[in-house]
Amino acid sequence: MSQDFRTDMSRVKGHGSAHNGTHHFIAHRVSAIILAITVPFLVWGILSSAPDGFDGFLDYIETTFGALTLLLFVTAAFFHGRSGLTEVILDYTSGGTRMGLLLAVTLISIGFWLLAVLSIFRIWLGA
Amino acid sequence: MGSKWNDTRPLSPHLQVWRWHPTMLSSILHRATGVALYLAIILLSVFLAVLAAGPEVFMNYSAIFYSPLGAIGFFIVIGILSFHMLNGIRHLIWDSGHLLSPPVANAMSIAIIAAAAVIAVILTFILVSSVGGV
Repeated sequence: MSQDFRTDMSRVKGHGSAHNGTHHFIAHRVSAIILAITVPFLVWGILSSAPDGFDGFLDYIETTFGALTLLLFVTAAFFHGRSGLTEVILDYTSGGTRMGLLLAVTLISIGFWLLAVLSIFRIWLGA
Repeated sequence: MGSKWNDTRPLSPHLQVWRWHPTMLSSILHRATGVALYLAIILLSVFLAVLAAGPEVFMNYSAIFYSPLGAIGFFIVIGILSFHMLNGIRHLIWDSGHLLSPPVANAMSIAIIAAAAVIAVILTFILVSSVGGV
């Protein structure tokens, strides 16, 4: 006894599974775990650096530990953010809008990730 | 999309027909805070670029960083970050099959929202009181 639970619209469109959900699911959670570990260090870094202004922030990023946690954080954050925003865009948009937004989020993510990474390296290596 | 659809029942859970409950609120907030945090990491990148540009450039903006606006921004970002992180950890626990019963999930939704607010207040207090001394 088989029963079709699909809606009329789903049957007309005739799309099947895209077979790529598992990768997205796991990658989103792995980046989430990296963020959950690095976020407390990042917040502590900001709180401990802020009273000393420019020198305080530089002292923090110039340490190997500070630079590495920041690099890990921004990399996981832009990956996780793009992954999450992609999900939101796929849920609420279609057609050209969807393509445009997906492209924009990808370019913005790579661009600002590069800006952050190059800035961290400049401070870290310039120490 | 323009086909004749005579069944008036909703096809999917729409906001107008669902009674609001805590897990629904935390689900929507998780998405909203996630999108907001994407803007926050873009701001973090800009902040790092300003730091890398040197002390002169930093001085041009430090009045903004160390104004009440900076403290308010810190409070908001820490609040939504705390919520998204606590709720995200709960999602990881949910994936393992635990804490899924409606009463527990609803109570935890309220607890997570409250905890995020408390964390934001405490950390902002620490920031303002330590910076205020300079």
